[in-house]
Amino acid sequence: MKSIFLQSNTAIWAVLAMATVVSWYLGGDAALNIPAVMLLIAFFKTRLVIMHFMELNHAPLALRIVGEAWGIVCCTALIVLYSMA
Amino acid sequence: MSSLTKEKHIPGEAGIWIFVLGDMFIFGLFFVTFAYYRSFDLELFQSSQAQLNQNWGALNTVLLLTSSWFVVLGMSAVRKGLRGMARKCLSLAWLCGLGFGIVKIFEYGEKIEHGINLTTNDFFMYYYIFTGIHFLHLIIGMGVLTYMILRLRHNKPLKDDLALLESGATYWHMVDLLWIVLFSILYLIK
Repeated sequence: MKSIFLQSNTAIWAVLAMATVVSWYLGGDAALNIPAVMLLIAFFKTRLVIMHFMELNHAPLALRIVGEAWGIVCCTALIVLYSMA
Repeated sequence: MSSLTKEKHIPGEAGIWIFVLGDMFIFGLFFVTFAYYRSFDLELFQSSQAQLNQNWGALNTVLLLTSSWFVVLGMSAVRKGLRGMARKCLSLAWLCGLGFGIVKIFEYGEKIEHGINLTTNDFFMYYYIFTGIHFLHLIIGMGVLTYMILRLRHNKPLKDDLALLESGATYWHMVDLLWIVLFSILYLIK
């Protein structure tokens, strides 16, 4: 049972939870709520989910590239649109 | 296609990836549409967003992340042949999903009670449509988790079911993934 819990994905979950708390804290502070930073945190989290939880880090390169591209394209488009507002 | 080892392979059936990537693409369009129209009426979007409860959004994010983690643990148990443990982990994931659903229904109720609905303004139109479509994904995902849990009750060799279970897990992680971005753009970023 221990071996199920003691795996790198448990650390990934802890990082994801901490990143959520950090973004929640930054979101409540007008001075610290910087769209580009908040978006980078969000897409850092999605990347962890895609690569580790969805196991694309063990998938063939083509699928991995599509997974990476989704995050990069969405994050870049949103940063551009938020900076235009 | 699937093996019990962690060598390079497509997790789950290839077909689930066409569906999941298609869904991720559509939600990507949702995110961009929201950000685009937000830039035309920043004041309205900001004042409307202030009426959302960030704490509920954060709680729901942690619930889905934890749920996804339980699915990961469940899949590790499947690969190790620990059927009972896999069932327990997936059941805990299901309960976290239920928690998300309860919080969301409570949150919708709170908004509707204050007279905020789909037609209130553009921000809330996007809020209800995007979170509503996501909620639908959550309900389907809970059905998928239920099927996975029931499937683990059979004494069929786990190896034979691995691709099917991995497909279900992949779908559930997508539900989590999409919420991470929705939480950021709808609740957090001013």
